[in-house]
Parts: sequence; C-alpha cells; structure tokens
Amino acid sequence: MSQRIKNILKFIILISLIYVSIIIIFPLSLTTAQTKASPNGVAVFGIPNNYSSDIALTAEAVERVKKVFADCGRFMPVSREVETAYSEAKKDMRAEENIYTKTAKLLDLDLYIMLSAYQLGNFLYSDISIVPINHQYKYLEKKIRLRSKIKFNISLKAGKEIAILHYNLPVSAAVIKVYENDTYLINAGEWQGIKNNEKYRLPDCDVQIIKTGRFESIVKISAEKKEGDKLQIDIFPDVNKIVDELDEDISRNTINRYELGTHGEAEKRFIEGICVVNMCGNVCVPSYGAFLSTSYLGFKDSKADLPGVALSATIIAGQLLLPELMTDFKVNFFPWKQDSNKTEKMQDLQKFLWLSLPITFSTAYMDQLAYQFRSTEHLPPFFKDKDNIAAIFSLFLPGGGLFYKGHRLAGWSFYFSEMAAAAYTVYNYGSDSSKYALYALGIIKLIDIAYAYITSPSYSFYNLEKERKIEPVSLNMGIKTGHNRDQIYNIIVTSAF
Amino acid sequence: MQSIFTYQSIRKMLQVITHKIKKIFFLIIGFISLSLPLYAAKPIAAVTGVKAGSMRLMSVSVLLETQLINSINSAGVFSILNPELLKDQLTRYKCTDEECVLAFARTAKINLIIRAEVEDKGSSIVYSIYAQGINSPYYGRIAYKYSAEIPLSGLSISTIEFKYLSEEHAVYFVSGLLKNYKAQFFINANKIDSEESVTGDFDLFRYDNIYSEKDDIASYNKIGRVNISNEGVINVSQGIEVRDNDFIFITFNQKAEFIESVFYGRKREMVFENKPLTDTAIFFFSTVPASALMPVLAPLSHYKNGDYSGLSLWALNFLPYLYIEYKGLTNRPDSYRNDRRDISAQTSANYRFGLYMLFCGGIPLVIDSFSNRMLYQAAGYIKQPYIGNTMSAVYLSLISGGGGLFYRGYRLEGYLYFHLHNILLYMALKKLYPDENYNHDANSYVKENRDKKKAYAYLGALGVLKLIEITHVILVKDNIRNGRLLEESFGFGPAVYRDPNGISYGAQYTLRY
Repeated sequence: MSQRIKNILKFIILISLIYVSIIIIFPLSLTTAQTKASPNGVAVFGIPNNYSSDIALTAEAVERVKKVFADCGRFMPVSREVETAYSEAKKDMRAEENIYTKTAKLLDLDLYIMLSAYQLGNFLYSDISIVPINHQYKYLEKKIRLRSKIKFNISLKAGKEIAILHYNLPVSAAVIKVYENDTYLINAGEWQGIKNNEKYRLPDCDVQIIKTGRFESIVKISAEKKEGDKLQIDIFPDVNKIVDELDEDISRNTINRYELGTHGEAEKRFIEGICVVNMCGNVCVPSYGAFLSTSYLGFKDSKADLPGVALSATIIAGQLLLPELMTDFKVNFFPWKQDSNKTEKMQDLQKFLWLSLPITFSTAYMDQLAYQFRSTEHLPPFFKDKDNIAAIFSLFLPGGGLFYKGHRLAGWSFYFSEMAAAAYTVYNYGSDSSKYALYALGIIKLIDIAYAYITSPSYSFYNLEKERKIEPVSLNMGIKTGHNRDQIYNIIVTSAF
Repeated sequence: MQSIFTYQSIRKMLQVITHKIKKIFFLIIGFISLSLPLYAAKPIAAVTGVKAGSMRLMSVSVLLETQLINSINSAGVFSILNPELLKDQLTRYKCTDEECVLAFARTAKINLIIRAEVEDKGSSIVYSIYAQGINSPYYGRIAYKYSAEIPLSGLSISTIEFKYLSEEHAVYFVSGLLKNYKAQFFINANKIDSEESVTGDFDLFRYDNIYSEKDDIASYNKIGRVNISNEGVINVSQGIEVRDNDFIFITFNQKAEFIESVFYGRKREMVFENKPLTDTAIFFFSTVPASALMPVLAPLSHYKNGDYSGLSLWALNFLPYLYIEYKGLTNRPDSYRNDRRDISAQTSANYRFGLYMLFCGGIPLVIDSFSNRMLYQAAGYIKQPYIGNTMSAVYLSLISGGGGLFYRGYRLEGYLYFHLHNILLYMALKKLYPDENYNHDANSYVKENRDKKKAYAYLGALGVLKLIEITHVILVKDNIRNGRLLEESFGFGPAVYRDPNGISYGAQYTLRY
C-alpha cells in the first residue's frame, strides 16, 4: 500500500517537475530569445475619459498607432508586458513621478505615446503626446492635436502623424554577439529594412550583410566592434507608402460619409444630369434650368446660387445678342439667316456663339452643382478618382474640372478665357491673329487641364479630414441631446496638455 | 501510530491527483503534440490566427483561417500543427506579438508561421496573408506575402460565397507560397530527412562553423551539387564530401501548379453553364446585328453596367474606326462610278473596311461591354450563361480582332489584337485594290498597277496574327480570378535608368519584404 502511494507521489513529483519546468523554462526561453534581439521599444498608453464611446475611440486609435509603429520598423510596440509593468510602477509611486514615464523606464523603452480620443460637440479630437525616454530620440518629443468629423478617420489621422514621425529615422542597431573573422550579430533585420547581401557605408566603417533574419542579421564590419557597440545605418522607412495608404483610407471614409445617394446610382444620375436633364432644363428655362436640374441628383432643400444664375443668364443673353450689339441690332437674330448687314465673319461668330450654348449650359450646371455640393456638404460622384475626373471635365468643358473640385471663381475665369480665345479665333478665321489666338487657346486649355488635375478640392468638410494637426487652443460650440431629451449647449475651449 | 493514509483520504488525494494529472496530462500532451512534428520529415507549418479588422469580418476571418488550414493540409507539403492547441498555448502565455510568436516557433521547431489579416474597406475587403520562414534561409523573414482586395459591390455575397472566396484566396496563397518557399532538408548518414521522395540534382549547402546550435541565425555557403535518389546521395561534386547536417533547399513548383489548376477547373464548373454549341450558335447568329448596332449597343451596355472605364476605353479606341467606317459607307465606289469620278485605293479600302466593321468588326467591342461584367460576377461565384467556353472564344477571334480575348476577360490584350487586326486588314485592303481613274475619252475606268507583294505581305501578317491570337485564346484561362492582387512578394518588369553614360534599359526583379 505505502509502496503504491510512494510510487504515486514519485509520479506526482515527476509530473510536477515537468510541469514546473515547462511553465518556467518555456516562457523564460521566450523572454531570453526576445530580449537578446529586441529592437527599440515603444509603449502606447490610451488615456480615455469616462464615456464608453470615447474609450472605444481611444482603443481603436491606440491599435492603429501600434500598427503604424510596427509597419515603420523602428520602434516595436510592446503590449504583453505593459500591464504588469504599469502595476509594478504604481506600487511605490512618488508624488512627483509620472506613472507612464516610470512604466516606460521599467520596460526599458525608448519612447512612449500618450493618446486620447474624444468627442466634443460635432468634432472628434485626438491628442497625442510623444515622450522620448532615450535621449537619442529627444528631438521626436511633441504634442499633436487632430480633429475630424468621422469616427473612423480619427485613428487613421493619428496613425498618419506617427508615420510622419518616422521620416528620415535611420536604423539604430547594436552589436549583440561577436564572432570570428570580423563577423558580428546585430539586432536589426528585415523588420527594420535590412536586406540580404547589401553593403552599407557608415561614417567609420562598412557593414556587409551576410544573412538577414526578421530582427537580427549576421554582418561583416570593416572596423573592430565589441558587444553593445551602436551602429547607425542610413536606411529609412518607406513613410510615403504608409502615409499614402492611410490617406487613401481617410479619403474612402470621407467619400462614404459625404457621398450623394447610393454608390453607383449617383454616378449614373450625374452623367444623365449633364447630358440630358440639364440640356432640357436650360432649353426650357435658360440659366435657372441649370439649378433646377441639380435636384435630379437628389439634393434636399437646395437653394439656387443667385449670383451664379445671374452670371450664366448674362452669358447666355450675351451669346445670343453679341452680334446684334456689335452691329447696332442691324443683323438678323438667327445665325442661319444671312442678310446684307451680316458679314461672313459675323455669321461665323454668331454660329459659334449659338453652337457653344450647350457648353455654357453645362458650365452653368457645373457651377450650380459646385454650390450645391458645398452648401449641402456632399462630395461629387466619382470623387475617388477626383484628379482624373477633373482633368477629363476640363478637357470637355472650359474650367469644368475646377467647378468639379469646387473652385467656382477659377472655373469661370478659365471659361471666359477659353471662350474669348475661341470666339476671336472664329471671328478672325484665316488671319495670323486667329492662329495666335488658337495657340493661346491650346495653352490655356492645357493649363486648365493641368491645374484641374493638381489642385486640391475646395470643399472645407473634405479638407478638414485631410488636414494635419490643429492649433493647440481651439474654440468650439455644439448642441447635444441629453438623457432626458433636454438640449445641452456647450461652448468648448480646448488646449493641448 | 495511526497512518495518515486512511482509505478516504487516499481516495480524496487520488481524486485531486487525478484531476491535477488530467490537467498536467493535457498540457504535456499539448506540448508533446507540438513537439511531435519534430520527428516528422515534412516542414511544420502553424497558422497563428487571422485578425479581423471589424466586427462584421469576424466570421470571415474564421472562414479564412479554416480554408487556410484546409489548403495547407491538402497541398500535402507541410505538417500542420493543431491550430486550437496552438492558439491555446499562445494565448496562455499572452504570446501574440510577432517577436514572441517567432521565438515560440523557434522553440517549438516550427518551420513556417502563417498569419493573416482581414481589413474592412467599405465596398471591399482586403485579405493580407503572410508566411514567415523560421529556419534557413529565412530566420523569421517573410517567405511569401499575399494581399488581395475583394470587391463586394454589385455582388450578393452570403456565407457560402464568402466560404468560396476565402477558399480561393487561401488556395492562391498556398500556391504562391509553394512556388516561393524554400524548404530546408538535412542530409544525415547520406540520406535525406524526408518522408517524401526527393530526387534530382540540388545545390548542397553547409553552415559556417563559427555558430553554435543555440544561435537563431547562421550563415552558410554553397559547397557544390548533389544528386539524390530514393536510396540517398548517389553523386556529389568532385572533391566534396557530404557530411551530416549538410542540407539542400527544395521548392514545390509542380505542386503549386497542380493545386491551382485543380481549383480553376472546379471554379469553372461552378460559375459557367458551359453550353459550347448553343453559345457559339447564339454568337454566330447575332454577329451581324450586334456588330451593326455596336456604336449604340456597346456604350449603353457599359453605361448600364456602370463600367465607366470601359466606356472611356471604347470611346477612345473606337473613334478612328468609326470615322473610317462612316467615311467608307458614305463614299461608296459605286456612287463614285455613277458620278464618273476617280476611285482611289483608299476610297475602295475605306468602303470594304466599313463593310467589315458593319458586319463583324464591331463584335469584339460588344463582347467587351458585357463579358467584363459577367466575368466579374462569375469571379464572385454567381453562375453565368454564354461565357466560359473555348469554342465561342475561338469563333470570336476567328471573325474579328481580339474578340476571344475580350470574351475571356483580357481587355488590354483584346484591344491590342483589335488594333493590330484592324490596321493590318486596312493596309491589306488598301494595297489589294488599285486606284481606278476615269478615262473620259474611253468612257471607262483604267485600273492603275497595284502593289501585290505588299498586299500579300499584309495578308500573310494578318494570317500569322490570327494564328497567334487563336492559340493565345485557346491557351489562356478565363479571367475569373476573384479580387485584385495588391502586391506580391516578387515582381519582374522592365527597367529604364538614367546614368552618366545615357539611358540604360534592362529588366528588374523586385522583392518586397
């Protein structure tokens, strides 16, 4: 009996030993492996307020910032150890100490980020503090405040700022093992951007990569080094690629938020509006028909832009009456009728003015659309390809692309320049001056297309999502409905911490 | 002295022990099962989870993970770890970040770590799948990365379609991985450590002797070539002696091609009605009306399908031919004859080319206007009629330029053949018909000499082009691959660089990491 129990106890001890060794040795082996080759570290602390929506917003931003840090390959975001270190740091806190700095120091990190995201009025804000621990990165210290009206964008904008932080940040590696024959193991690899078989020239030596791992590399160094020696290799993260991807996501969210009607339907109505509805509308009610036709796209409670209507009405009247005015009302009103007072040149001009009426109708329509898009806070269809579409509009319509991007004044300027050059060419057809006018028209057209392509949209609600940091002190007002359905009015003055 | 080991206390103790042992046993079993593949000769792969970018993608991430495991298993190249157990172990030690997972993989002697991410992009989702090799030649580096954007707009995608989509991307990932992954196999006692049959000539490698076994990364050199048969090493380069722990790298291109072709065949069966005779007959009888109505039919079809890029391409590519067609049909040689006017070779060619465009030359653009949409839907697992059979593709390429390629879903190649075919045909027609000048004295037309040689040269070139096009159409697969590849680990393309001696042209091979 006792022998059996002894055997059982032996078995238990054996199993316990295996268990303990597994439990202790396995994590230890992980830790050892990790510290040996760990890159520089960063902790991202989310500091939410008590609102559940803000907590979620902050958590999302923290995740995005960590992802960007990992993508940039300079500071590895720590997550596993932060909670333990935070509790440890809290134990014997002194009043003058900062819990986050203490935690970061406990974790031997190079820098930490304090991030909070919250809603005030109609805006969402994110405050980011970058606090370097390692003096090597002192220059990265800064405070940034971002704002947005779209929930998904606030984390993306935070990520973008962190990506921009990595511009021109070289790889900082250390020798972690010395082999023979000038061969060393360094704690930088593919994650940091080191490539197999590349040769990097440093101020005091050359570094030839022999084998690259994810976080380590075997290198040959032309100068003698010892364990712990630092190497600064001028490889920089592809920040532009990361920023472009984040910008694309921001644009997509913004377009989804501000697009007019359902995707696909708005595009069709936009084309139908330009090609059919507006033409009919302008034939029935010249100029004001352009505004009426905009309702085909589904704007609610839209109002006409009267200066725009007046301007286009004046232009249409001018196109119909210019030959009359030029000849003191002596020529026949219709271009296809020639009389003794109507010279061939005058008839050509009259034909041109009448034939270009659809262009004016379309321009008037684009002008009214630009006003409606701005006043109702909507983005035009096809906005995902805004630059190409703007260039195509400018190709077919004078200033079309600029109206599309909301630059109405510039759009009308190009309209007048191109129409005047075209009219002059037609009026003086065959002469040298006509040739020069035609060249001028070509040049203006090219500028129009290029400008439409490169210029940024003028829609403020879109630009707000594209803007970077805002001033540290800002004033905002908003109205909210409280729990008892009462209205809460707030005036907010915010300042970066 | 009374024994402390009474029956009840022993029973209780045993119950506790049994319970504890159970727990310990499971843990040990877990570790033993993790370490079991140590003795398996196949490379060991582990899927460490698929991260979902939003709540609505949680179920999609589970589907993708399941399909990844299935595809890796069915490829038969890797031994795969029990994913549930692996997840349990990683979560137990909060080992979820990349560094820790790699360290874990090294400890557990795993060869390949596979992780994935599903991102929500509103009207599309993005699958990003990474494979990180743990041992040589990767040491944790990305062995293969697959990233694809899957459009969701215009498709009704339910769970079953998501399952198919996930399976498709998992299969293409595994096939790409097999093409790129280099599996390390050691030679011990002159035999390969592999349960698979490894035969052929391979480069032989040996680690430099400055590293210890504990090192996570080590450099090695190629020491020669080795010939291996089922019996073991049978031949090595002269002067080389094979030692234990020398190794070779093996890739799995044939397996990759095989799993891709099996999947493609299965998808074709799922998404095409496949009635070659009926479809070709329909195309045959609708050729003339469809071609004649093309200037109206094609833009309307593009517009209806919301294919605005297709509409723009149609407008840009068709306008020159529309001009020739219009000019040819409105200036017929017969009407010139009635008016006793000279008939130039160009007038005759324009007329004949106009007739060709009217009766069958417009069909490729009609095909493009609807096949693009239908193939998009087929790629999203919606069954489609009329498309997907080789007979119709060959017929369309036979009667027009690029019709078959448009039918198969290759717009760029379609337009290339469309233009080449039309240009060669027009040039041939221009050389085939002579200038006819009206002689008022003789009241008849005098035919000028024509350049027969050039005419036949153009016709010959057209024939060769047609042969190439038809072969191309037969060989090419229907473009029903779902999604758009965002980036691949490897790329090959042309390169133009400016250097102090001028401009250098060449080819470039790009590796993304």
